[in-house]
Amino acid sequence: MGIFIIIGFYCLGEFTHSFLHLPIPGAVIGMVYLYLYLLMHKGASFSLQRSGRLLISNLPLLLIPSSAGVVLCISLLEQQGLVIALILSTTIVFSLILTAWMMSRLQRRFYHEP
Amino acid sequence: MSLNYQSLLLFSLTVISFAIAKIAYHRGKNNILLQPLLVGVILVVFCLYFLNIPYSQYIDSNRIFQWLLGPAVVSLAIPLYKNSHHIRQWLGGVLLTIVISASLGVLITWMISQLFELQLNTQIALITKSATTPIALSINEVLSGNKALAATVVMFTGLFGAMIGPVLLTRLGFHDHRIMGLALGLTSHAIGTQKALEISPLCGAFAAFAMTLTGGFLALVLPFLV
Repeated sequence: MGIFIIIGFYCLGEFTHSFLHLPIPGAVIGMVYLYLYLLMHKGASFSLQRSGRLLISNLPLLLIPSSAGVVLCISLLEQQGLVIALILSTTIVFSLILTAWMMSRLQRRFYHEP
Repeated sequence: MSLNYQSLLLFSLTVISFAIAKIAYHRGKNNILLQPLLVGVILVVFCLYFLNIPYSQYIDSNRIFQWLLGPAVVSLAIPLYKNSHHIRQWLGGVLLTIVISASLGVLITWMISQLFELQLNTQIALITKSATTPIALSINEVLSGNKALAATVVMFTGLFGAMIGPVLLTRLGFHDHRIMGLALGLTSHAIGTQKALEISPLCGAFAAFAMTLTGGFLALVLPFLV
């Protein structure tokens, strides 16, 4: 039963995406719908939780085919791989530090914790 | 008939690679570099290379997995809902941090890629790096970014952030598990969340929350900017 609710919201999300010409991915719209559904029902039924866990815990399996597409950009990576790795490493370090710094400032300022 | 036989074989290639990767991950005491996705992809790529099978033929037999990514993204709402009570006390601060940090991350990545004059579809793949892979792929689909590159970029971001994050943040004096989780989930999505769960359940809850909201935020905002 749970899996049908999930697929139903996914289809509804895709429908919203194409019907309203929204640039937002249909799956993300579906996620918002499911969240609202959970808020209204004050939680997920057992079978919904089980179906969700099944999909999420097997995400690597679902992602393997798309990720193997790396073979299509080998020449791009040969030319620009170093630059890309450099950009990524810099921004990852930046993002980690910024997030931690900002949250700890907010924590001290607003949540009165030491 | 031989076509069906081949499709079945290529479909099994994905499933078997995943099974081997999962066993390797458990045997390797959950070492972060033995990520099931990373090992699985390497196995598939090697097989395709040695058997001389074009990627287009492989992906045609594996469309079902790509389709299931949609429902998988939708079901991320369930852990998001379940974790929200951990966050309630800090909700405003957490939301503000996610919005500002994710936006600045996109801005900086975009500025540096402009500096190196990268192609537009490469740039799009790079700015989705902090979204979890299924969401990043759907954003790239909508914006016609380089999907194949995006998957690689997102995986690199996950691995790199999860490896250096805890050490870096501890060195800088951020010891609170909630802050560590937030930084790991926001930057390194699923792999960061997995690392955070090893630190403590609270750290993991914050990471899972940050991962989903960051992905959702990027998906809601990026299509209007590019």
